[in-house]
Amino acid sequence: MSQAAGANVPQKSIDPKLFTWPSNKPRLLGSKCNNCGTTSFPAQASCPRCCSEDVETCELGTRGKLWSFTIQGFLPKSPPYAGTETMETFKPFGVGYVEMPGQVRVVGRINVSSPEELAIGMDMELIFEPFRTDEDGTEIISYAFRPVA
Amino acid sequence: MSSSGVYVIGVDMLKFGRFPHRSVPDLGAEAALMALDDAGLGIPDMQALYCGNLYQANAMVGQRILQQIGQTGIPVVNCANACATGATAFREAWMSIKAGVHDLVLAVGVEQMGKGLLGGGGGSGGIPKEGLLGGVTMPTVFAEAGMEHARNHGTTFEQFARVSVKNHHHSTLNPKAMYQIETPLEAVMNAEMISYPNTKLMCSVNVDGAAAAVLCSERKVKELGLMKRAVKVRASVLTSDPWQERDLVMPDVNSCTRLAARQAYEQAGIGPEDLDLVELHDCFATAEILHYGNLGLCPESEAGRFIDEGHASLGGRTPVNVSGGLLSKGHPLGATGIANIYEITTHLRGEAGKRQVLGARIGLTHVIGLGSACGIHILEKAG
Repeated sequence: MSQAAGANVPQKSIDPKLFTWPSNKPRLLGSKCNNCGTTSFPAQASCPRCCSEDVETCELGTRGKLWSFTIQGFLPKSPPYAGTETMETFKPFGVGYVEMPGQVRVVGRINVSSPEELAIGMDMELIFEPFRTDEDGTEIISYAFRPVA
Repeated sequence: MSSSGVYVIGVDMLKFGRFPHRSVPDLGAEAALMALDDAGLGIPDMQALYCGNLYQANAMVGQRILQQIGQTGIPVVNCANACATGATAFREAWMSIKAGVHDLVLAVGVEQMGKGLLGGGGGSGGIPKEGLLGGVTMPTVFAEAGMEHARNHGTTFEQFARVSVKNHHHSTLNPKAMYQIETPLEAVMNAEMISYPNTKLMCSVNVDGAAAAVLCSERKVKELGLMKRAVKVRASVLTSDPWQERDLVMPDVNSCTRLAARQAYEQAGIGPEDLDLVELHDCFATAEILHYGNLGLCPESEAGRFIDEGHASLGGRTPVNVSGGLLSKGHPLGATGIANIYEITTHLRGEAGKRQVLGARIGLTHVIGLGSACGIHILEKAG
């Protein structure tokens, strides 16, 4: 598990509802429907498939298969984009969907930025890394995926 | 459902372009008057106005249009439904006639976009993480959907790029398109990469525009003696995403179209093989390839061949986006759904000039707004 590095740097989750943090083994937080078994991500209060309100928060797995991907080649509009790059510092990044077996497809960044290094169906694993660093030095942590070595 | 038909008796659109010094109501009013002129009627004849506009959804655009062309006191409904906004306004107008409430209704779609890329898929309201992380922009969503098609069916970058070549070629024959420029394959493939595999020339053009349609009950069309140039609405369908196994912020660009297509063909009592032309939502080149299969124009796995063999070109089996499509005619969000009604109607009337699909009797319009909303209309020559 790639825990975000830099123990002396203050760190904060980009959204406490998305994953357990701080944690030695951080996990994405989804919700599972007790009526039909459907998993949703992010967690929500009722089921989009069967409309049941009997759902509970659950942890998702850490490995899955790449369902599709692209390379984001331009600076996303801000807001809503929360990154701090400028047109000059922006670098293209990978983004895609990872199919968590028996659970749900999760969309997220991929820590690879050339299409040649990615293939639909390849094994991926969950990582946590700084998404940006705020002015006071706090690292804002988000989840991402990387190909399994 | 009422058995009597609903008809388009007047329709028109502005040439799409950039009009930074004009207001949204001003553009909408001009298109409204053009459509009324086309029908030979005036605003006093209209019993309701349905107005589609996205970016000024809280600004009472429909009422402000009437302030320019005649405040007759009729009901006005302003609609916003992402890229399906114009189609939704048209469908609301259709439903009011179908319900027997009105006989003559005006539908207007209008948008001012400014330059740049289409923004913020899923970013506005709702679940926050998407826009925050920069992952679900419109170009990435449609790029990923294209990559999935490539993986499943071997569709190539070149095949996606050919969509853009075709639509740009079509637009050279359409005086109302934003651009009339031949755009060869090499230029498309070598343009700036926006979201692999879509280059800049494979993304829809952000333009300002407006389009309007006059809808009429069957009884009233006959009374007015306007059946000769009338076009019958054979199907009007609007869908949202049926449940799929995916996370809640992951847009699904296919399912709502497949659902809407199935319902539309059933409502019209026809199949895709009966269509003489299609205006579909080519917001990105990859999207057009996906919708060949989603709309049943060919098997999903043969969409790459469908473009390669020219079936989607003017003169082909089912010409697609003869107007130039969103890729070259342009994509003013709220206007797009009515502009494609204009395109199909013009062909069914035999008035499309150099780009006329010969002998066209039935056509289909399709839009999808991410989030999602899919609107499909099937139109048939009446007179």
